[in-house]
Amino acid sequence: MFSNTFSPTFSINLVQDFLSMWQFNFMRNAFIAGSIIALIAGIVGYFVVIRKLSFAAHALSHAGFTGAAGAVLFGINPLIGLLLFTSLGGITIGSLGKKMVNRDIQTGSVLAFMLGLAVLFISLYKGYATETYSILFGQILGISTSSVIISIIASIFVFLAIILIYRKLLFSSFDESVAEAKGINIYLLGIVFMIILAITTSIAVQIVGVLLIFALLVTPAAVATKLSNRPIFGIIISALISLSATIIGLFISFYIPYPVSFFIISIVFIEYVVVNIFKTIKN
Amino acid sequence: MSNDPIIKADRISISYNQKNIIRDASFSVARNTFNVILGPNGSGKSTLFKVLLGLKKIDSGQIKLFGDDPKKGNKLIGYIPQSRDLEGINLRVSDFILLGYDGIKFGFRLSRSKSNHILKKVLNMVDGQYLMTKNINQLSGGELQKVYLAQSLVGSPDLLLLDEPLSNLDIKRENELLNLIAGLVQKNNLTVILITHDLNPIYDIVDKIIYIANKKLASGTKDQVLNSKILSELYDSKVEVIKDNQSHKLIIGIEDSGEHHV
Repeated sequence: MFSNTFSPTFSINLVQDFLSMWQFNFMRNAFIAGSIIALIAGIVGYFVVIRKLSFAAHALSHAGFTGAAGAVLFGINPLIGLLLFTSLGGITIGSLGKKMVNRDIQTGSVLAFMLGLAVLFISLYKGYATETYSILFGQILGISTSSVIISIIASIFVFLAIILIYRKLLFSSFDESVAEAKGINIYLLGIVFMIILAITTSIAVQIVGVLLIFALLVTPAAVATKLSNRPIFGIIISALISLSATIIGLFISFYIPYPVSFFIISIVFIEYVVVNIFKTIKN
Repeated sequence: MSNDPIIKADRISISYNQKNIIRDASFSVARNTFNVILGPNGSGKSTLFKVLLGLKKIDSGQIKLFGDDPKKGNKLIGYIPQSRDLEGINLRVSDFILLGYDGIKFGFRLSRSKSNHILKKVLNMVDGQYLMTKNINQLSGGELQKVYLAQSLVGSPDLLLLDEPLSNLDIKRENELLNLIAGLVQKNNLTVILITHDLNPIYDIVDKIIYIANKKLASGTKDQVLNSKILSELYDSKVEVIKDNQSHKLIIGIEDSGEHHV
């Protein structure tokens, strides 16, 4: 992550280490945006897991890749392209299937079309491929101040939306037929959640990239649902796993010159394996 | 309490996937009675529930529920659907039941005292207090049906629509659940409509049968419906009804088609 002329040294004093990182604008941006995005991804991820929408999260991140590639082609902020295309993809997937179980085919169709567009955009782009690389694998250390601001606004919007529809979302996720009979418009709620997921995916792509989106949106929540049978605790655990992995990943990457997304996915994956082993032994 | 029927259907026709499945059917359901819907697969039993829940419109005719047109989110109805996908769901029974209580509301649940009171009350009604802190995915079939029944009771409904709650239960659990439901009808002035393929376990407690077959519907007491004349008319084929007086069991044979209810 750093040039050969800069090689920070790790001390045992973590506070001192953190303060030395904080001097750098790019690290401040990374910590602020990374923490907020990780928290939101962990919260939304819980609903992704209980609604069995991990394939949709995967597809939306790829739709985001198309949007970002298009934005790069037209010289605008890739995050705008991400938000636009994931939202369009989310609305399309949500609109095409009423019930959660019916959405796999729609999701796959949208995914294929979006990737086709991405191929076109990349072939038309005459610049360097570094932008594409950062969209695929994440580049939180290079996040711009404008992207930090957009991410914070988007995160606040998602957080408030989740609080507003919290019970309806839980009810329709766990017990769709009864929720519908009780008067919840599961079709509309499904579309609203897909928009929430689209926005979350867009901002999370900045940290871990399109290809590693599961690191923040699925795996922490998968661990959390194994650890708690209470939704509120599951959401908190998911958010904390996502947050801790991001912060620790950023911390390590300051000293070791490998991609942050690699450290984040490794930490989350280790937690996933440990929890699974623990649960298997316990059972 | 009014003696008017809870449900009154007059010459209703219902379609499923643009295909007519019930034609010109009329029936009524009285208060505080135990009713059962019988009929072959695909005859429209669950679709009729969807109509009562306001999730599906009828093609023609008129149906009144508590004197009004059926509507979504009717608080007077408790509902157990035919199937639920709870595989891999790690959720506490108490949270599952309470979603049925206030899951349609916006925001978070702020007060726990009232919801806890409701939770204890409905679990008590189904003799399931011990299930409160268990995981929903660790319950037996019988326990799961108790939880579903408890959830359907959270809004203090007048009418319970139970879509095949007896399937996948052994005889002992079937009887336990039926006794529980029958007790609820008596103690709480509830009206129950239960869909089943097997009449045997409920034969002695059912007040009224609604039999749907071949796009037609017949309703009435056991003797009024389960006789050769009515069933032959429903199936457009000769149906034989044999009654065993000792155990009050019925065997219904349908010529040619081989369908039967035992």
